[in-house]
Amino acid sequence: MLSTRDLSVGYDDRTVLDGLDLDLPADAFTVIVGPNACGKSTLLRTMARLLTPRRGTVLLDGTAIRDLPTRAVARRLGVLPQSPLVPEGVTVADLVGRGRQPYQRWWRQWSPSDEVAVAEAMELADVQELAERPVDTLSGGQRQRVWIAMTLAQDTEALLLDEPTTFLDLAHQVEVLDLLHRLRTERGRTVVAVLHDLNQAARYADHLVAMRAGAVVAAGPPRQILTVDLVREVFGLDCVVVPCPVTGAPLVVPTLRTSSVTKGSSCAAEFSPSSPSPPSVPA
Amino acid sequence: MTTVATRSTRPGEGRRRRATRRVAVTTGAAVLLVLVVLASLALGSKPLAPGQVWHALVAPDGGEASTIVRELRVPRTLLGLTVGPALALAGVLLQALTRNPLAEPRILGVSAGASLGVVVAIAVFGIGSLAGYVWFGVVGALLAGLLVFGIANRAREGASPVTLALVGVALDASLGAMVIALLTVDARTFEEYRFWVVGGLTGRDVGVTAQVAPFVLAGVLLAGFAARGLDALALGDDVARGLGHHVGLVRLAGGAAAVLLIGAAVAGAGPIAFIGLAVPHLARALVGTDHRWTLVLAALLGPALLLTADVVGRLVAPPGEVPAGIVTALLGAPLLVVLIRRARVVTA
Repeated sequence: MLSTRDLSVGYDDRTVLDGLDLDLPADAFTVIVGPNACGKSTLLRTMARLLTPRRGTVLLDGTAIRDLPTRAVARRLGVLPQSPLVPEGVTVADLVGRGRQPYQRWWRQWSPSDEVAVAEAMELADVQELAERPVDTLSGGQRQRVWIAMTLAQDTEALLLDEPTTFLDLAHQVEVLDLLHRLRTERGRTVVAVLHDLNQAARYADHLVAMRAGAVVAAGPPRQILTVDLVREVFGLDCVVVPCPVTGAPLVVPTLRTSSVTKGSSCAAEFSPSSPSPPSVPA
Repeated sequence: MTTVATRSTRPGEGRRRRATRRVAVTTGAAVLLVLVVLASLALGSKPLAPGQVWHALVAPDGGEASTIVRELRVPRTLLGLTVGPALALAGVLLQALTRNPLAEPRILGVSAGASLGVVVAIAVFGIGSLAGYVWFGVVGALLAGLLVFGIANRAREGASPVTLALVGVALDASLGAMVIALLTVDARTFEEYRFWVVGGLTGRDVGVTAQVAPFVLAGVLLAGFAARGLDALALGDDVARGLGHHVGLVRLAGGAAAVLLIGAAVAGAGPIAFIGLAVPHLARALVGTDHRWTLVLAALLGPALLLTADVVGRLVAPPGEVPAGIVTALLGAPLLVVLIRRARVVTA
């Protein structure tokens, strides 16, 4: 549903993305991964029309996004940027309610459908009990769920999230990712997220996009594309890839750096001499 | 303010409760403003009975009471009703645009621009009447506002809150220096300026209000247009864009509104302190951060506070008067301290 054609984006004299062509599948959870400064956030922000490309187009269901009124886009595409600001004293219900702005006009203020959408978004993100709390008094994990609830209240087909798990502890990371997974499977939303953790990406993504230096190195289902070679090419990191004992998704385990000059692809034999081949884990 | 988390599980309930409270507070503020207006007409250094005031309003007889009410009290009340909302709304707008709870008409340099405009009117064009200042004040504010916005826009991240505030403060200093330079050159200018710079509602006839009012009206309309965008802007530029706002347009509308309001207010009544700083805080503490409510309440509380200051100024030192600009500073400073001490300053 979201595609880019010959997309080039830059800041000042630095080009971040250069002629990028990409198609993101609808009704899938797409995760974009890559090393720092590879352009993954820039790509997400450009697709969300937060950045204007120098050249090329972002297509939303085949229409150039810059030709669509931004309010109309806001009814189809929800965006959660990396560091939204939390004004003091805004309550959770109030903040989630602001997600309804794309549907409101001066002559059409708060309506029953807004009420329904907000209630549903708060229930999905499990923040109903926090409704009257000021957002700035919440913990990081609660706060992130509130922001997601706000984008859910926008009631869009697609959600774009820029590193939604950064600054959260592991339990809250899983909580947020489970929520995104439910949105995809139970609500049929298209979810696109930039994530840092490769293993979480492999676990949750239907479609993985691996980027390096402003270009897409590989894109596809994690089980097909996430290999030792890809991790080395994208991150410059040696690793072994084993099936995750819980989900069977590829699990990336970096090898020890002390034996940095490793011959071949795997040094698993060096620290687990008893099993010369990568351990097989029952799926 | 903070309700117990378990009290409301249905979001609609809390929203309705909040709406009821907002309507109640706003109605209260409107009633307060009416009372203050009545006080402004009825009270002064020359005591008049309510009957005399009423008579002077409905059937003027050319007597002393009629003259006092119609020539002095009515004009200053009307000016207060025009300038008060302008200062308060400008404060709300600037605090929202700069995301800085301490922003006020000075921080964008707009106030200084208006002052320089007025001083140029006195020194260069030799204009001695307040009605003549208005255009210079508005133009000065407008130019300063455009200059601030233009310079800030050239920064890499555009006219962000930080660049706007930095450029505004820098411009405030340079414009202030120009004002001082003009004043030191010309002693007569200094005399005229001295009366105007204190800030107040005295000595301005209805003509001044009539000249200022259209600018204030335009500013109010623009502020209303920008209100929902300001709510979104408080969450960051990216969130605002994601919610379908044209961030540049919201900033432009809000900034233009602030410039019009400040230019008009400063030209009409001189640089009056603290209304633009204290009223927005008061309004947010009472109705929360929704700008449609904050703006309406500020527009009611601004003139109420300014006219109260004016009435107090008339009564404290008869037969003389203390200008409203001095009283607002004296009233406003403790008010702000109370607000800060009361717990939290709710930011825009």
